[in-house]
Amino acid sequence: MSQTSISLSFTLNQTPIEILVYPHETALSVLRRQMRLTGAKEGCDQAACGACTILLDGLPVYACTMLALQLQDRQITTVEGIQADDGDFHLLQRVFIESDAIQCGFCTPGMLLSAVALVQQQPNPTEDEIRDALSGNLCRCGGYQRIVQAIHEAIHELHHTPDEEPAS
Amino acid sequence: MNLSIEHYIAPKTLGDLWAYLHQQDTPTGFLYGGLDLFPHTTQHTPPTTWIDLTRITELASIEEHEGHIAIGASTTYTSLCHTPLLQRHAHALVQAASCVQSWQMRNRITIGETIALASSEACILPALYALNASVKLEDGYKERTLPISEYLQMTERNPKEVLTAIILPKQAIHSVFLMRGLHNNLPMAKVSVAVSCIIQEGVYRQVRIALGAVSSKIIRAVTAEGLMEGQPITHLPLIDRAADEARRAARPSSDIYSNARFRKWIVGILTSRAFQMMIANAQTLVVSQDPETQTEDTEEPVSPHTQEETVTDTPKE
Repeated sequence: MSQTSISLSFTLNQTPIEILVYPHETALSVLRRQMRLTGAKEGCDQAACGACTILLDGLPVYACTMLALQLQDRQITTVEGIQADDGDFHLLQRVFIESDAIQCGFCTPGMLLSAVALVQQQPNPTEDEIRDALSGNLCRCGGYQRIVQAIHEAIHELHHTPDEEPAS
Repeated sequence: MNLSIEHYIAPKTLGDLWAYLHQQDTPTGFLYGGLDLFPHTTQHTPPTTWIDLTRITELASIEEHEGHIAIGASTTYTSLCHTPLLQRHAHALVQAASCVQSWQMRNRITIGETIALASSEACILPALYALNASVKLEDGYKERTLPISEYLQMTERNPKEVLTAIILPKQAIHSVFLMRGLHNNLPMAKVSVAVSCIIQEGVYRQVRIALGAVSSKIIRAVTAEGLMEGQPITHLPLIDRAADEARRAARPSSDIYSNARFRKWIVGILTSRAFQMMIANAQTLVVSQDPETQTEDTEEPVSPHTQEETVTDTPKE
């Protein structure tokens, strides 16, 4: 069996990237091993737990079941790319920390990215919409209540501090 | 991933796809979405050349034609859930696509790959059976359209032929899909039921009842369909008789999740509920079409939270 590496170009956290990958490599393995971005985790490796969530053109997808070559010409955001321009935490990251919405932290990058995508699509989501958006992310610690509560708080902060520019 | 891929091609147009296919002699696998690659990791000799169809924009569109709707094979479940045209003419399909609760999965999984995988547990297949769907196959020279049941029962497929679209008849059809799920994240059901019909002057016409996950393939409850055909929708005891017939048509097996008796029981309950919901929807539609009460077409996307049935008072699982 001979496998030839193929050139892949995409935008990763707003930075254009051009690398060589093998056709069988998954997006998750390229992000973690080649790009050294370990925010997306390898959990179940079968599109069930959501620890590997990344944003593909702004929509959350599982990176573990996606070929790296399917990233061609796409905009990819990982948890490393959601902080504000000044390097400060994203509003959701800050509220997750302040609300203790983190226990072991393994699911947190995936939860954050699903929440970021939700807030971008629906700035004022209902409780059901929040839970629906997070339904592809499993928290093995069972900390769902605080995670949902943290997202509620972030949305509340987003809408009730008009003078303060929210991080995006 | 435990799969050797020697060649990966991602054409951007159908023209590029046909040009590549016509000069290719080695066995080729098609990626309608991407998840369809993974069942091949356990195959003894999977194809080593893969053609990714997700970048072909013609295959990711939903088009309205004179008498039908054409859904591109690479259309994602997210698109199915948010297309008002499908909510009007293929409500059961929208409900079935919404049953995949994981947002990440809905953004990736496509209608084409679900059909290509052909699992009877896949939610959208009974919906497509009930909606009398056909599939369009093309090889660059000619095209043909087959009923979905015929396509799924084909034992040998032309390796150069690509499933390009799913064709749904565009008519005033009422349809409902209900399921009892195996796992929230997966588009798989323990039992699923899709029913459709045209209600003309208060009677059922063209009734179709499709049952999923209760056999190795999707089955139609033909006797139950015959029972309902031409009968008035106000004759409610008929629904219970149809539910019993649907239960008899089911051939489920037992596994670690549920036994066969439970699954048969659920088939009847879901069939009965589906008809009741369809009648309620039809009556709501009649009221909303009254010129005095008619409003703009502002149908909301179906929320997954409303789809999965909670069944109580059932035999022990």
